[in-house]
Amino acid sequence: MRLLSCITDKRELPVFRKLGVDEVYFAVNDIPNYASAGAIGTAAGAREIVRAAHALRLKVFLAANGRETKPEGFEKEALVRKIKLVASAGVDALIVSSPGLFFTLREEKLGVPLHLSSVQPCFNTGTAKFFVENFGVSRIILPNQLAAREADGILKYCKSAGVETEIFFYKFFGCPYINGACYLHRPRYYTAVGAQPEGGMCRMGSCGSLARVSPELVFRREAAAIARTAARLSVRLSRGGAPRLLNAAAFFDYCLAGVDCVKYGTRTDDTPTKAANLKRIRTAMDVFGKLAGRFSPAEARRRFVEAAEG
Amino acid sequence: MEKGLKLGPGAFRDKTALRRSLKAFDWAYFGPEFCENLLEPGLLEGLRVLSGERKNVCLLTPMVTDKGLAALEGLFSAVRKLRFKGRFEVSVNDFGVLDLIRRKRWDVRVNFGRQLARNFMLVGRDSVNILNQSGLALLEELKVGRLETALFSRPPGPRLSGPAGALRFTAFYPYLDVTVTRTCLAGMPEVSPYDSPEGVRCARECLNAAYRVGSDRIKEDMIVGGNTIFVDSGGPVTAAMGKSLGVDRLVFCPDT
Repeated sequence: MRLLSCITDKRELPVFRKLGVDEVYFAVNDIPNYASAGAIGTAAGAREIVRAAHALRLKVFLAANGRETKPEGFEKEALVRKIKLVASAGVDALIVSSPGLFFTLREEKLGVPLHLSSVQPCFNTGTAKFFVENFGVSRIILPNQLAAREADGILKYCKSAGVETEIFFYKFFGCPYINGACYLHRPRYYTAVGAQPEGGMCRMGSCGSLARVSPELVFRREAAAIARTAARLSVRLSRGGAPRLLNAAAFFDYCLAGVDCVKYGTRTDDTPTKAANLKRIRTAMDVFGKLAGRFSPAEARRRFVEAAEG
Repeated sequence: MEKGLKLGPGAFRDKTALRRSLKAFDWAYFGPEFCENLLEPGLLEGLRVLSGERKNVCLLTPMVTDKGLAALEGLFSAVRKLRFKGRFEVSVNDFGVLDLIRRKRWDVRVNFGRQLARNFMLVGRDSVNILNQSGLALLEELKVGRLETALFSRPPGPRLSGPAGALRFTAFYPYLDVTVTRTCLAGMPEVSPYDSPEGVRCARECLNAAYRVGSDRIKEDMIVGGNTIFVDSGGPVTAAMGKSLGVDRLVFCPDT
């Protein structure tokens, strides 16, 4: 199992290598990427990053996973030119989410491996097959809203097809909604009262006073159940959001099922925060390595959660 | 302009009332658009009833895990045996569901639903952006000619940015889906760190009600229907506005 981290500064490469990172990914300002955070320069400067990463024996990927780029920012020829520039610099894979970009890259036959971004969520084996068979995807980054047990079929299919799988570490990935389909991130469809941090509305709830919730359309006269649900909604929309499927136990199960890579992808974190979080992930991976196979899965999982949560 | 009605929970309790409610519409839209936990045996029964009506029918399907994919495989096999008096279409919100339909060589007209359509277009308050030409070329390759969306209908009204060509749009109203989660805000219980979940536990709380939500951080109220959060986007777009955008079908969704 390998550890993959985002980088937002070339100087992070040797620091992260020492922490046991095996692969890194980065974004550039002139190729659309999801969240558009922490990009390093432009495509023209990618060669320098790729060279520096390879010198440290790190694989290096480019996030080209903008999903909703408007036409004016997605001039096909210009985009392809920039992607070719990064490809010729020796990048080891492109992380892609847009079906349109997958189509373009297939036409261009760049020969660079493609990773399916979690922003284009793969929740089932059929979706995995669709992207592998139509676009030659070589790695699938699983969305955090998929339980390990639900991913069983995808993991088996990927192993049989020689496709790698990747998950996010469960502690450092925020949006409780379906990533890529969450438009609470930006006030495009509503009017925010005051300034909101990027993702402020969906990551933690509104964090103001509790939301006012009342039944709007009643389908069944179940007053007590409706009142309970309204109270639950009020708390969840204001504090903490929806529950999470990718928890410590599910992370253990993903590792046990043989997922290939664990990702740390919070590009908005500064370098010391990234380093501290990478240490925690590496420790968790080491703990998993010591427990798996030594105890029954249930006992190993229990011990892992105890260690991870403690 | 064709008109559709999205049937909500309990639509089939009274057949006479169902007929009455569908009278003014050409299309019946039916099925769980956002949540695989609502892929239940009652769906087939509902479709059987609708197959006997002189209406066109569109089956809405959600994003699915392998569990939902298996449920849809069974449902699709049964639906293929039905004879609809009107046209029949399937709306998909998951590439895996499209893959299933193609693998089974089911020659049914497929539309991309509100979630999947966002890969190809983006709705703003006053515009509809076609994201890129390569996306349109892929739609052609996939033989998908219709995208579903919700539009803000208030003045000045949406404009189309970028060519849509032969692509046709279905516009849902009066709610626009802002975000969706698998781990339902309304229903799913919290998960202990020691429990590796089997999936999303669901007690069908969404079948009781949809909720209006007021927050001190958002000016407008939001509507929570099951695992999806909506905003009120107004009534149907006008026929003239629809024509300029390529909208030739409006679907009224009173229950979200």
